[in-house]
Amino acid sequence: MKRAVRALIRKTFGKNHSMRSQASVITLVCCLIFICVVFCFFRSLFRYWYGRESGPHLAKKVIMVNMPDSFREYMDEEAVELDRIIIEKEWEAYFDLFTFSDWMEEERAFMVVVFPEDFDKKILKKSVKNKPEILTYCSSEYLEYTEKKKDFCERYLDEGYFLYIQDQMGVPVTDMGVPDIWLDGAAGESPDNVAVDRFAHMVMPLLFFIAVMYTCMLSGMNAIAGEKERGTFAALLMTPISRTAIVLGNYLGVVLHAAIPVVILLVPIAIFDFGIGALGVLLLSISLILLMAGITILISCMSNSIVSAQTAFLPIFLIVLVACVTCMQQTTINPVNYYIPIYGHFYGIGDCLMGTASVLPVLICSVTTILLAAVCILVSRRLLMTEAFTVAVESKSDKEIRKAAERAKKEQHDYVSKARANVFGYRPTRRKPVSRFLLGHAMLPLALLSVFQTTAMIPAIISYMKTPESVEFFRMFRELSGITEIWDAVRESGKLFSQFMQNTYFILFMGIGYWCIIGIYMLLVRFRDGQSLATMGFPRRIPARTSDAQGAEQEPAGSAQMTARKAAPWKIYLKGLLLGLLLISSVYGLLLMTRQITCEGFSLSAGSVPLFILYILMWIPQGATEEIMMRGYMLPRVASRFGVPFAVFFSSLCFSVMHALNAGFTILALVNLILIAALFAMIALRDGHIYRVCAMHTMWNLCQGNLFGLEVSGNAGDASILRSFHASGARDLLTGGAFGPEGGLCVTIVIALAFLIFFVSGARKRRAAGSGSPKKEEV
Amino acid sequence: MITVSHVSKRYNKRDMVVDDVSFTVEKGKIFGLLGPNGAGKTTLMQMIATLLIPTSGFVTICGMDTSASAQEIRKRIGFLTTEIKLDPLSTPNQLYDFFSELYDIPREEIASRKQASFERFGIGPFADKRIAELSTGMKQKISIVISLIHDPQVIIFDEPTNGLDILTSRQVMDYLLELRSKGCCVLLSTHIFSVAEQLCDEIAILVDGKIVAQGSSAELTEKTQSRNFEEAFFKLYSEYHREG
Repeated sequence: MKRAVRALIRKTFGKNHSMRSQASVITLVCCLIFICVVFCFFRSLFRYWYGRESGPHLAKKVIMVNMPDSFREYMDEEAVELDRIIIEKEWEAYFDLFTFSDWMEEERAFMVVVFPEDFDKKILKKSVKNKPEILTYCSSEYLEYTEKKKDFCERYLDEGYFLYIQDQMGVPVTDMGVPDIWLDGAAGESPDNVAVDRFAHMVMPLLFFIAVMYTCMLSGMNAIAGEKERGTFAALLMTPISRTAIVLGNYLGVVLHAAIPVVILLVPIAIFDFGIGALGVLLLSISLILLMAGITILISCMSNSIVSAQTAFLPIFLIVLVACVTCMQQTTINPVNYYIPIYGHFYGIGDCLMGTASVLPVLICSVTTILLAAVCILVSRRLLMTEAFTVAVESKSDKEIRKAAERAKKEQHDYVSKARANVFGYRPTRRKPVSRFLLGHAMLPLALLSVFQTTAMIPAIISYMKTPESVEFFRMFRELSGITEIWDAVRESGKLFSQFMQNTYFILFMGIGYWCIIGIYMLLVRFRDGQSLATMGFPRRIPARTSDAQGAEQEPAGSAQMTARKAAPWKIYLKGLLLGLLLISSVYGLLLMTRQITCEGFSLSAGSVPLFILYILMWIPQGATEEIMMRGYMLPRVASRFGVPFAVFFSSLCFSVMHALNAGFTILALVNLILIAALFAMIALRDGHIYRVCAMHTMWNLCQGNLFGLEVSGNAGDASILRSFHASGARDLLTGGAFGPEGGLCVTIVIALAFLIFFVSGARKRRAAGSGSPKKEEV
Repeated sequence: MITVSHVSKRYNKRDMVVDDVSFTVEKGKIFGLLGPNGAGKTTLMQMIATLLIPTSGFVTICGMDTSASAQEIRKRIGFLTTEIKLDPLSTPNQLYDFFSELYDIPREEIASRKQASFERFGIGPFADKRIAELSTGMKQKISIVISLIHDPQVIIFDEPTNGLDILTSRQVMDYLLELRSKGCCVLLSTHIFSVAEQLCDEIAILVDGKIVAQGSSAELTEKTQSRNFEEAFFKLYSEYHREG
């Protein structure tokens, strides 16, 4: 037995295939990045020590932005010698940290003090509510800067300038805060022993944990699971050694392997003269190794391949890491934690290094851990006794596999042939579980939109920060933290971000984003699903229709059914634009008639023409994108599985919910959007394509936002031809309030009317299929 | 030496992989299990080799029950199956040493034994190459050497000539005959008729987990009134194989 165990230990310890044969390029890259990060971290930690000796070239200047006259007076009168270090600048946006950090680098300044432009005026107003705020930006590159900044603020602001203002102007400024903004990383406390303490309590334990867990995983997964994967495990089982020996041999091999990095870490600890604490660290780290190796061996026994074992271990790895991070964040430690494994190890290692550990918790924690490890080994041994975990059992005979394959094929065939509905000629090819199917359809538009919207937001935010309005924005942003209700927060942040919707960059990038989304959908349909684009409502030729409802005025009776009308898509699109105009105009008309809004004439200035054109270019793909998502892609696919009615409802609901985060969203808006979406879906279904609805959607939004100057689903536009305002007596119930007309009853009425016309004309069409001429309908 | 008595094995409730199989193999005899893929040969072999435990029935080897004294039995049997592979990154030398340790072979004997068996199969020139670099035939030879490292009295070979060229399979067959002459008891599974016909003293035909006929190849041919053994097998197979 001893001999066998020794041989197994040698094998497990000595042979580590994982680096040679298992590591993927991604793993290697991750390792390299990890090593770099650890290195950088260490470098930054020790910088304070070696930085002292070499004496870094410290910046001495301070940049004063928008320096008020009173500050100059203060310098003159109090004879403050600040001229040598102060650089004056003017800048209107006072949250523009990009510019400020550029300046700091250029001027070799360590600090920026930003006054609001009209600081003096505001001070003189003596308003408690509208107190001007001074911002300071400070580089956190060196600890010295913190001290210097503190010193500067105390001497020249708190105890200098503010007192001066108080005396001279009679303004109480005692509680005038100076908010700090730190640039470039975190600043630490200055004394050396704090850094050492932090190093001992945070970095060292974390390093121990990562080193132990990583090596355990590396060799532990390779030991038994790897042997199973390579098919060499059965040979081991056939030898006359006991299962205990197999488990023990592999286990001890893993332990030895994990001990290597720990020994490497312990060497500097011994050298740095941490004294008796090193013994405690040794005890704790050994027990940690024993436990981790036990867990890895247990998982290894349970898994049939390295990948499955690693996947099983990964959550444990992460949980332990999270535990480490929580340990790092806790400042007051519950004494019980010292006795609990993992927590006890983390705190214990730190305390041992600092020489503040007590013996009993360390001992108890270690013993508990070792007991846990023993349990792991016993369970592993028991697992190896059962054949399910030893021999990779081929439980299905060929016959059964064949039967299962046939069954699956038949199911697939049934599914494909028994599609509930055939919209746009779409035929399903694959069957997915219901939940995945519906969730996928609901989440895909959301995911794509949020990705592209976020991307488009970045240039918008950056450009926005350079404008003076950003002050207001940041004030609003700070107010967000005061909101406790989740829905309020969502609504407020929606309002906040809706400001960007008017940004040129945002519109431009969003337009591009919409084209990208259209492209993605086309690629999905064409290459992932292998379907033609007609199945997403883009047939190359417009199919003949038996009953043509809208826009088929001039067609002579009877011929509609028989002849395949070859209307060009662009003609349909133009007609769709007209129809959309008609719809939204009637909404606008209704609003005007009911005196809910007033039109105040033209508002488009020459300056906003480019923006207007940009808007048009954005609305075109925007309308098309939403139509493709909801009608073109989702509708036929959901219909094929659940039938048309459900598909219409589901896609409309998704469409509506997609707008739920927009400003001013109400239940009525939800209902209205469902109705609109349902109407569009019906039209698309009757058409057999979505050219018309794409155009309608685009026209609707364009007219609403940039012709009539109304809000589009909660997003207010800038460049509009007409200027409209809610009348003084306007009721949100009718106008929809901040959400725009879609949130009001007027739209409900118009859409209901449109539905009526749609159904009536459809019925008439059917009747007139043989005789009679369909009459042109009006909205 | 091997007694299989009413052994059945099922992995799930419905499917019987091995169904009430009984036979005995005497010392100095080669017993062949012949059957198509999926007939349950490998499962039966694994049960005899102590890797699996029968759902019902029992197997005794050298008078010991496989489920009760598995460890003792493992000292006495050599098991070779295509399922068991060799560590691709080790060399034959390392593997031989490693398994010698596990089988507790006296240290002083290891070197001489290794030399003898490597010479027997011509492994010598490849002894320090990695398994991954070797040919299928060479791998199989090394597998055979390793599975017989402890001179077992009972040898269980699952498809030993599978995937080998004629030369190598000849070598393997010769070696099996040599083992028989030494008084070993050999249990062999195959789906190759020539191997079964030439080697085996007794053949059991396994169809859908059941033994449908048993005897020497001549006996079986005679019993089914066929011209040759191959035809006999097909007759038996079509007679007993249940479709669906």
